[in-house]
Amino acid sequence: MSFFDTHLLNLVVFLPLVFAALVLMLPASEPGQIRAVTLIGMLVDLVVGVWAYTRFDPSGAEFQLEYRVHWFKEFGLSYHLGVDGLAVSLLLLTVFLGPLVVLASTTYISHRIKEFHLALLVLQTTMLGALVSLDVLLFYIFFEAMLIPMYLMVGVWGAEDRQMAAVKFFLYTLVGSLLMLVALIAVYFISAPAGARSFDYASMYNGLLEANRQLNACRVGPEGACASLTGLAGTLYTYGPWMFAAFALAFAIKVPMWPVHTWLPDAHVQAPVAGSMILAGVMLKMGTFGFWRYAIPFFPVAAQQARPLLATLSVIGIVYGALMCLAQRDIKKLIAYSSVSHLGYCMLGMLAVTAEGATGSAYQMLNHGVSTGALFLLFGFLYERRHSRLMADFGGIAKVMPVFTAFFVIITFSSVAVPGTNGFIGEFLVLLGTFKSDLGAAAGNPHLTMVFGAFATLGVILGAAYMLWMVQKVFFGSLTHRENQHLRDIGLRETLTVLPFIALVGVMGLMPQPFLERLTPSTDRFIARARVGIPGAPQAEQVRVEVMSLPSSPTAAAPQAPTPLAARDVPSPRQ
Amino acid sequence: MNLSQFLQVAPVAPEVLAPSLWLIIALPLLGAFICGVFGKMLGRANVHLVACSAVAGAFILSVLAFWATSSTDPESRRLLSYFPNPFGIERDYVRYALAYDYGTWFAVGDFRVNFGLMVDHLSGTLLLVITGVGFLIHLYSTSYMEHDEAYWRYFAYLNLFVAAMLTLVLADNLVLLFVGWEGVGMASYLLIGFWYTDPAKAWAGRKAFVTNRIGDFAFLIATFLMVLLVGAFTKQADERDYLPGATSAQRYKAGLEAKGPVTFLGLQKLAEGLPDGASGKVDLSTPIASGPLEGYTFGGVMTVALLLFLLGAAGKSAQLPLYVWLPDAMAGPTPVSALIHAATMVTAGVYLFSRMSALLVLSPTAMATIAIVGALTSLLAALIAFAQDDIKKVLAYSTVSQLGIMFMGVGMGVFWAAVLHLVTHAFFKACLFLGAGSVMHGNGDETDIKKLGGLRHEMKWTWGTFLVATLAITGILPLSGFFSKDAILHGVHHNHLEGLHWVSTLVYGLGLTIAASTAFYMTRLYLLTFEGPRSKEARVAHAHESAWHMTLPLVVLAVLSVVSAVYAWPLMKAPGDGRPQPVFENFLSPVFASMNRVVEAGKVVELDTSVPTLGNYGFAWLVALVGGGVAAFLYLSFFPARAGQPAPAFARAVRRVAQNKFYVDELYELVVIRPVKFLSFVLFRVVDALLIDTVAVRGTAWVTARVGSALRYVQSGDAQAYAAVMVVALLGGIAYAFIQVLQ
Amino acid sequence: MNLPNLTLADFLPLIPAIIMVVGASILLLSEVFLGATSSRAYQAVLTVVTAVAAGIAALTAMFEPAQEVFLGFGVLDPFSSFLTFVVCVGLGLAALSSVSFLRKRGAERGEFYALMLFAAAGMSLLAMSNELITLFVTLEVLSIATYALTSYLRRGTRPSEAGFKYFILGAFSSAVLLYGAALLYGATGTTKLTDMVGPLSGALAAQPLLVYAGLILVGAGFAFKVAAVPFHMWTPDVYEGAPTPVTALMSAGVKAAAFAALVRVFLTLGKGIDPHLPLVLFSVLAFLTMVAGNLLAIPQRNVKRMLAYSSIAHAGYLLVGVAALFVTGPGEQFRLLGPSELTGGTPVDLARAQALRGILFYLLAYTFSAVGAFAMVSALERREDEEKGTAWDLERFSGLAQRRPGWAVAMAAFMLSLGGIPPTIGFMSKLLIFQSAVDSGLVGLAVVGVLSSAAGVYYYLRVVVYMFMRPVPEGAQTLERSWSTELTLVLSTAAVVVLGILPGPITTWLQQASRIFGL
Repeated sequence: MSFFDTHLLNLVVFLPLVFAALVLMLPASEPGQIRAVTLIGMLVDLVVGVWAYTRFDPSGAEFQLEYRVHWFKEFGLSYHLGVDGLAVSLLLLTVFLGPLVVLASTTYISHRIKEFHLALLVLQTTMLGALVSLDVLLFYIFFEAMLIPMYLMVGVWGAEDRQMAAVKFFLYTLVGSLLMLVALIAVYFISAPAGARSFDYASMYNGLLEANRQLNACRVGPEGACASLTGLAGTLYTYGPWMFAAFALAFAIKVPMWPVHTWLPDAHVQAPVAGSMILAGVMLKMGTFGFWRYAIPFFPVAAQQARPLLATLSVIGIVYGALMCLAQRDIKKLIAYSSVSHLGYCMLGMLAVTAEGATGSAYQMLNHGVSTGALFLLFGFLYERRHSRLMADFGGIAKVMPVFTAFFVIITFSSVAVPGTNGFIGEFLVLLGTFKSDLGAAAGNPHLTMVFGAFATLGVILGAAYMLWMVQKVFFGSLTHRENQHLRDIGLRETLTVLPFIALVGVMGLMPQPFLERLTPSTDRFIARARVGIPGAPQAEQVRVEVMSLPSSPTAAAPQAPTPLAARDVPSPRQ
Repeated sequence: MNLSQFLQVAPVAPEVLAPSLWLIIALPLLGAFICGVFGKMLGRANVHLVACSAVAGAFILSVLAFWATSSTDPESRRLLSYFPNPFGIERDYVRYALAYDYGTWFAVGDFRVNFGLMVDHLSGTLLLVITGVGFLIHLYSTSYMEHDEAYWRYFAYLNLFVAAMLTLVLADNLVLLFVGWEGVGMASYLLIGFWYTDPAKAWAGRKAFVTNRIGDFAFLIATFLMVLLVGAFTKQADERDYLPGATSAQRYKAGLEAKGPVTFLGLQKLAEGLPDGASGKVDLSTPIASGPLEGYTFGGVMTVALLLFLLGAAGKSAQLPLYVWLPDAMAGPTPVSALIHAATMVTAGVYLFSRMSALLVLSPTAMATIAIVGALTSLLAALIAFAQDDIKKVLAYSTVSQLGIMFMGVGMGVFWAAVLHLVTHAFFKACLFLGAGSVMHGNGDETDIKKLGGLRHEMKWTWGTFLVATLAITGILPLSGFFSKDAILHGVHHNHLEGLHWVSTLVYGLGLTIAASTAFYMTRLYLLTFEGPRSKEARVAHAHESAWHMTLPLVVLAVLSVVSAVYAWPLMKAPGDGRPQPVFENFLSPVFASMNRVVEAGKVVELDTSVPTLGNYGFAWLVALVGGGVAAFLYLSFFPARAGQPAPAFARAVRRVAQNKFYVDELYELVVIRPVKFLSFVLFRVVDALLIDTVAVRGTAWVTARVGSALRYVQSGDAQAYAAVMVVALLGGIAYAFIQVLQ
Repeated sequence: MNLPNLTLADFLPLIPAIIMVVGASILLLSEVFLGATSSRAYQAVLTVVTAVAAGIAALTAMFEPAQEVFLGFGVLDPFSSFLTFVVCVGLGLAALSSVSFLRKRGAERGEFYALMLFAAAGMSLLAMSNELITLFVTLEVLSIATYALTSYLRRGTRPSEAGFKYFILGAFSSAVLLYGAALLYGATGTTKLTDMVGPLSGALAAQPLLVYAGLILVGAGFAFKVAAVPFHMWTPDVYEGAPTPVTALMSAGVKAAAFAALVRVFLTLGKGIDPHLPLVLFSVLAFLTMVAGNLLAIPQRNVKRMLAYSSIAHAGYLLVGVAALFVTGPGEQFRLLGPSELTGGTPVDLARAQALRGILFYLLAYTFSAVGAFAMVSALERREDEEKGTAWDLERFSGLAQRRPGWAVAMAAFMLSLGGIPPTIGFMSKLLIFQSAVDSGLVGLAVVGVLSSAAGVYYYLRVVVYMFMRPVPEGAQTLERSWSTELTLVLSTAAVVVLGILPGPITTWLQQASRIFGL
């Protein structure tokens, strides 16, 4: 491993921050320079990110490009980066969106440009950091820190009702993650004996592994076999569900799953185009990613018990989100609710715990990033021209903006998962996985699987219904409003921003294999971990998490305990 | 060398052609891309050139492919066009077909889909129809769309459609087929809403797509059920189950490994393994041991899957209950109606079931349902067609009706006849639509037949071709429509589904009625349009004949709709016993061989292979004549004589109901659309906005804030009060200590 | 008993305090020779220098073994040294921030800084005191100094009212504490904490109520100083009325010192008694303080007052840590707040060492964040409208991001740190506190803690909203810059952010300081 390899992830994560420093030095009166520097930064980051993506070897170890050094040793922390297949794919998505977001905002953001680009770059760093960190607390730090720039982005550059939306977004997500913090700390303590403790993903997971095995083994045993469990397994038996609940809540809010989704429409509607793109493109994935990486592997047993509930919520989310779209008058709100529906697919596929479902879910994460990101981008262009989000204010736009319409329709088809576009692969796999899954059995009656599947498939109809409804209202019919008659068609810069999305829609639709290959190993491990200890489940040998160990650096001289005064006193009653 | 030999020596050998099958799809796709992206700058002529030549190229390739499917070595008379069946044992060949696998599309877990293309006699025939008729219609369009600004968009969409349709036909597995399946839906959405500035047209396009999506929903679920079935089969079957399919467990698994579970060849093997009574562990009545379908029998699941496929097909092929989109689809340009909504796309359902005939014959229930649905649709459409005055609407409903007839055929197991009717119908219905287009073109886009009339003298070519096509669809000897339809009716009459004998009688009866009614409304249409005096309200005093671009296709199609009758004639000898066999049946027999094997083994369907006698022909002919005669009498002498007199009340009532399509659209609006909209509205306002957001979310914040400000009142700023509070707290502490001590 | 003969060596441990007292004396003396108009810029500088010197002196003692001072009346151990260090940090920053504050009011006087130094000296001594009388005296030293500081600006009614309230209630609480001390003396016959432990267990058997009452009264005395609900009520009024730099010193230094003493007393005596009592006592206090503190802060539009309530809330989090000090391991089941058996199973002493570490780190973190925040408040306020309630209204912060981006960012950093959002020192400190709470099984308290801090984030964010998302109000007065204020901001911001990511040597000091009391 060359120096470059070992530091590749550091590079990806902190390049935006470096460029943020550059931007900071530029005078605020030079928007052009600021934009240019930011764009260059994002592009460089894109290059490095793609490099990392290609360096990732699907057949290799689970976590690659690792980097780990001491950090807050006394608190059991280490600075530990590394990517698995899913993380590296989402990382690719993030760096891909980066430059496009900058391009999308060149004319959209007209005031406090410097601050905006700073926020953008910082946000990029935090998101990438959350994706690549292998120390759970490091993840948590990025996960939380992410909120700050996004909060500012919504609150400062948002639409009329921005402050409410920003605060709502911040608090909503904070509450969940704070509870998760407590659960996290609890896991930290129970997963290892005093002294051996660490927030490192590997040690936490491996610490729980054996107990989870026992627990699952006894769950299939006679009634109450688990009640007699002792030690860690016993603790997990009693408190596992609670800890899982805390994790699940935090991530479910982020996803967002029904019924904790109501922050999303507000945030999306109020956010500027860049905000919406990043929010939809990457941030929501943090929720699904969290389930995939932390919540389910840490507590497979509790997850097993909660599966029917969560799956039901996901299905509700799919249908309910779609129905919400039919009730909207506000285009951005419609797209936001469609996200709820799409993310429902991600969750359902993951909870199916079948190869097809999980991979489809992961792929759907990428798809949603591309197609919904593009939708927000395109609508952003329209909003710049017309400053209205109401469908009623449009109609017949196709006449004046044919090219724009073409792009929008293509993305629409990708969003309603027409075969040949990226959306289809993900949705198909998720649904197939659901039909093959044992969700029904988990819910008590194997045939329920069909119900889950059928309701989820309803989304196929509703999706087409609401998207095409919106497209017709906005683009077709006769030009109803005079002010629409002179709308500029999409320009060169804007076209350049959209084309990558269009290209990706086609590529990911027709040649998904390269992407799927990188996801598959993570999927297999995810499934093995979600089913750990269940008899008859496919037990992949690589259930344990193997990561690089800390470099045995010269440990800072551990201070000698001073002879305490109180040593001479009577021993305390507890000894 | 005689004709048959000539036909059997393909200019391009199959093994040479197979790898380039993708070109058939790629050419129109490329055309679509060029026209769509550069069309504006290319200019009209170039766009025409690109679009037409793309389809023409595809046509030529299709011809070669079709030719190659039955190429034999002239010396040894050995068949050259065969390939080893990936699911079969060694030496198990798929004959009269060529296929090529372009590798993985996507593969996850034990599921995989390949870009696999296959041309056999069935898909070959459809290739010819699609590209051939498609080319003619492109040619026609060059003139028809001459005044339209967005010609480039039009041709891009049209090419795109052709590409999608070809994908549908060439696909060797369900998922790839689904690509074409939805692709054609998408293209038709774009083409119906081609004149998007008219909200009604845009709406029609959307209606078509969403209705199709309902079908696709069923299609998807059916596909998943198939995957589950295959999985369960491979889990439970023992060696003997594979024998009827001429394969072995490990070969079959190898096939699944290589090609994935949803390829048609694989499904055929499954079907051959399943019939009751066959040796082995698994047959239709075996319950599935594990998985989500645990406890259901293979046969039951198969029936459900097929019924779901029926719903899917009903969406695409405009059958009950999803036919409603097709009449509205006439909003699109007329050539589009001719190509998509008459000749090709709407027949996808028929193609699908012919493809999966081997599975279909496992379930009499499904077959009966298909037949009945077809018959009812057909009848309903015919009745509606009685009262329509819009020339395109009449043709649309007649299309629905004819598709119903094909479904009857499929449902009763006369697949070859159904496919033949598909082909002939493609010819004469395309001809009729193009003729209608020509009429509109020549009459200032007038579509109301009441306002036309007397055109036979003004538009000779159009008139002639239209007449031929009308006779063909009416079923007048010796045109193609007569034979294909009669073949279906004959088969329907003599085939039987176990336990459901009444079905064939019922369907046959309905079929005759339909035949008569078809004759009736087509004659009416023809007479009102071409015969009689020119209507007073005509938009233009004198219609003008269209340019050759438009008439040439008409002529070609008219000719085709005459000569294609040949295929129905029993000129061939059946393999095995030498009884006479219709050309087309003989031609398609390799495709349906597996189906026949299943029928042999299963004994749940009995297929009759007799050829109609002259008596049958005469009877069918009479039926058609009666229908036509009645119409002729009514519209030539009866109504003209009573011109001016009010029709009796009941007649007007009946007419109104028929004119309003029996209020089916209104019914759906009431039963489906409004409830859904209402539900979503209520959910949004009550659950989302009120309960979750206001009460739960904001409520929490509100309560917290209120408690906070309530606490402030304690904070009076009065030092004594503060001291008092502390004292109370202290006393509390002491009290606690006291209690501690007492315990 | 003959007076012990003291050598110079006995005074060495007191060096930090001595430095400060000397500095104070210099200020007072020099003040005499100054005319009304002559420059007094040096005074602040001198104070800061003194603080730095004292801080360094304290740190040098960091790795010394613990040793008795004055026959065990006081103790010099890493714990007290760290506390002194924290106090010095608070003092230095507060002094820096008061330069422009005083100049604006023309109230630059040597006494001010001298009083600050005296108070700080008292604090550091309080942290060292190991004997009830000494404890009381040092407590009074710092209290009286702060009383005076509170009403230092004699203009207007607010300062005097605040000072008066503070004095009355302070006296009351001191009395309570003294009474408690007396009871304990009566029970054990000694006032030296380390000697009390032995007899205590016997006394507990003999007249338990006496001991318990004593402990509770002493606890109440401290609860007043650390502003724990329900002994908090003076806080908002006093904090609002006092000169902002003084408020800063109070919120940081007084709190730190009081906590130090509280921890020392109860940990030492705790060995002699059933730790169940302090556990309950502090759990309840922590619960009330966290919840009430945050809830009360939510409706505040007055930033200074809001910060006062937030300092109450933070006392609550610290009390969670204190409660964790008295958990004796798994098994005790009582209600939501009590220990569940979901514990880390850490050896009890290690767990309690961690709790102590958390408390100390939290004190440092809070010092940086709070003093910084108060410095910002003082930079924005104008003496003209101190009488009006609007002096510290949120409106003051509207559009600050456009007017002084640097300030806005700094204030945002403080707010996020107080709210416990990563990557700030505030997050790390909260993490440590809740970590030890969970470890000792106080999961219920931890959950209440995080939820209440979530509520807290709401009012911290509101400040950010005003700074970044509100337009600049018309006719907003120009914000004159001053090197001292900005230096304060820079230092605190740097600390808040950097220490949140790279704690540097601090963790080592913490390790050191928390290995005390036989932990």
